[in-house]
Amino acid sequence: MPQSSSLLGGWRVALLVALLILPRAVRADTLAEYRLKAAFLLNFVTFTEWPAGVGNSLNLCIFGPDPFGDNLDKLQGKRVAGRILAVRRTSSVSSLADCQVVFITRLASGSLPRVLDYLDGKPVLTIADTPGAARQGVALNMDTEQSKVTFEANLGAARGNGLGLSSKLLRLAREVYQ
Amino acid sequence: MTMKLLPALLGFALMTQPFHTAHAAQTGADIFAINLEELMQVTVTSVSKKEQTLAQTAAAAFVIQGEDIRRSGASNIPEALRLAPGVQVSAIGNNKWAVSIRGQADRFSNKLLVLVDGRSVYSPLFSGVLWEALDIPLENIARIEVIRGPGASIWGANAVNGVINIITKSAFDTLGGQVALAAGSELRGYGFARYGWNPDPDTAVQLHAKAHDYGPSQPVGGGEGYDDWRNQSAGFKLERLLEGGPLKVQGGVYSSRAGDELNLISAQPANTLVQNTQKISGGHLMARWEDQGSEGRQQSFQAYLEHSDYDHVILKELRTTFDLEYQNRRAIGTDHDLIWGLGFRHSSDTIDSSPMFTESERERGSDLYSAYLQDEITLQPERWRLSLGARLEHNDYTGFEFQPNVRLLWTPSEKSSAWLSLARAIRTPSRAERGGSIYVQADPVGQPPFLPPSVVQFVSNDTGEEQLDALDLGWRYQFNPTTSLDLAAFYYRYDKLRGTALAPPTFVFPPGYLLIQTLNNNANSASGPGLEASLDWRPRPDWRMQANYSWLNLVVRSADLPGQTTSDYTGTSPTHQFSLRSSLDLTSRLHWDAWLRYVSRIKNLPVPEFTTLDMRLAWQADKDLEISLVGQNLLDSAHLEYEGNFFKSTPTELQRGFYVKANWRF
Repeated sequence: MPQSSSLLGGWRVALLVALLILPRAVRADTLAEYRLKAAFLLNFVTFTEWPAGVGNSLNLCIFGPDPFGDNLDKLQGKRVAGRILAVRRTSSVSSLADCQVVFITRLASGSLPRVLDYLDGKPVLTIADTPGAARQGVALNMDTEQSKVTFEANLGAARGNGLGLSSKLLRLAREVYQ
Repeated sequence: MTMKLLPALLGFALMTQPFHTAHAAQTGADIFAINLEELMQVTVTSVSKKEQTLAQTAAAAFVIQGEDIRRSGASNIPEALRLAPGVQVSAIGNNKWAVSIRGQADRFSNKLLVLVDGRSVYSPLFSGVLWEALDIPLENIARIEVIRGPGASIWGANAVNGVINIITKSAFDTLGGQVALAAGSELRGYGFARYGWNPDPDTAVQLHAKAHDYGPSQPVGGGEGYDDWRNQSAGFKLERLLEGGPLKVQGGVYSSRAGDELNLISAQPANTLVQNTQKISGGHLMARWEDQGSEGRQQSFQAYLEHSDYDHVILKELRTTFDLEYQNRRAIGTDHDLIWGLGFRHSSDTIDSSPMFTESERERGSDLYSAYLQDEITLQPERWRLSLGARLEHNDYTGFEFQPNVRLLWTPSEKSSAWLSLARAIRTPSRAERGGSIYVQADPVGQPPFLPPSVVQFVSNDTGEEQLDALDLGWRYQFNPTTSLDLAAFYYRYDKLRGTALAPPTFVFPPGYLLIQTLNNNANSASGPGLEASLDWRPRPDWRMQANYSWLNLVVRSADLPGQTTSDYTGTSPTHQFSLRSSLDLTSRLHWDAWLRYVSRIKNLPVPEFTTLDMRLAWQADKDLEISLVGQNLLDSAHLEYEGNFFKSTPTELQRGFYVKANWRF
């Protein structure tokens, strides 16, 4: 009896080892999706031109449950094209009033029409990573294709908010809506 | 053994280390310094977890969407539940149902937990759901999540055979006005009105009111039954988006009148046919706050207060319930998704007895404390997920209950997934099972004429918890973008099932009758397998077919004890159920739905097998106006689906019915 129970114990430990090892071995050569997307965000901001009235700081607001984790914290206080980035997180539409960049998270995409409606005509760059969001009126929308991040642009939406998207962005975009 | 393996374990852990270091050179560099062209070449191999849909969970889950309900022609919640596989909805006339998942059906199916927006509507007195009082307008339902099998580790006791989550639409999704009116043969009248607006972009308010009137069905012998059903309800929803997340406040009031004809002991030992209208009214107020700080860190806090007033010839009950719940979700690293929660519920009641039902205490208050923890572990990204969970609960009757659950999900490809679950779930005794006595007269048919009349008294004093140990398996396969199959199989073992044992009769004089006491015990058991299959096929964009089949072979064993009677859980569910539904858009404005259902015989009641058909033809007269004609139970003039098996209501048959409905939005 003691023999069989220790055998069982061995199995348990073996299983534990498998559980501990398996994920790590597989994860070793991966890059987290939102680490990469955070870098895209920075590039989007770099290649966007705001109208003259926008001051020296750029508020980057995450609307909805934040998928970036601490990847965005490294952007806090970073200087981009002469402006200082500040990252904020919110779930309220009206608090987006003083944001220059708004990222609408996938979990909050149900609120997309309301957010776009509220930001319409304001000098705000809207970004999302929800399929179909560019067609709905988001200026820049990321997607993952064959494990690579791509994006599409809605130039009409950006211009409607008084923003200019650089030709480099438009060239790299998978699709540009007018 | 463990000591020897520990170094090996450490060795393994160290061996994986170089991978990390090598990798850090690549990604540890400042990713914000890389230019856009290069970023577009970086490969993402760990796609972050998408919002988990129910279809991706390791459970036999099925979602009935609001749109499915509308197109089915169902006019109330029990009818809508027939859309899900594995659910038995047996109508007991036009205002009562035996609804159960995976067997042991009863008018009060005691192993099925039902929640509306996170609020339990399971009665602690009847240990079941009073469907006739659950007056949620179908127009307000966003979806109904039907989870077959135990869900006790998350949802708590009595989520033994299944959980039904009714989720109503967000106030932000019901802006504007809607009016629906219907009239017909069984559903004599229906009216619904809703208005929603948003005073500012962060606030939405919604008000609604509803009333319905169902006519009686037909007793088995013909004629007109006494089971008409009239409800009125009204409610509101207020949602406000705060910086941290949404705050939701909702409330409602309802009044339900449901007719019933029963053979009851009016004065011992005489039985009388009593026509009674069961009146239930009540209301609730609920607030919920969700902190959606980030995807990996969320918490919610919920509180509700509820009051109900039940009035029947058998008993009257006043009940007030207060419930608090806290939930916290946190991702730890990339592999662990931890959810834990705490709950407290206080319920106090006053029960007025009658000659048919007595309670040892008129007033009682009871507390329920619970804590649960679940860790969802990604063993291999996009391939293997393991979930370990348990709930510890304390109730005033049986003390601490521990309900663990292990689930494993394997996703070999995007198209298929397989899962396995091992769980234990508990059904806790109801208020009536601790101190209640029910008097019924024994059936005089077949009783020798020289014997005095006999009265049976069901005495429930120390009924304990009932326990399920469950093995669940499932497989989902997406053949192509238009065809998917969902299979679930299970083997369940129930222990400590409620049973009754007859005591030797005593002669009561005057007035002169035999009193046969039956005492509750937990000596029975049950076991058996079951299977459910669900096929979804969209041959064309404008045509959808759904087929569901379920098979159940649960054997209930009454304990081999002196006087032990046959369990009332025996043979109350059909072995086979099949349904086939077609949703076809004849033109963009004309929609035709047909729904065929077969239910095999219910052995012990007894109810013969039946096949029935519902149809709906809808015309979108205008962008905002839809007019529909619905026919229900079209294949026969009337059929029997169930018989109440305790207090015997006069058995009634469901009749063929029609109604016309207009739905207008503005």
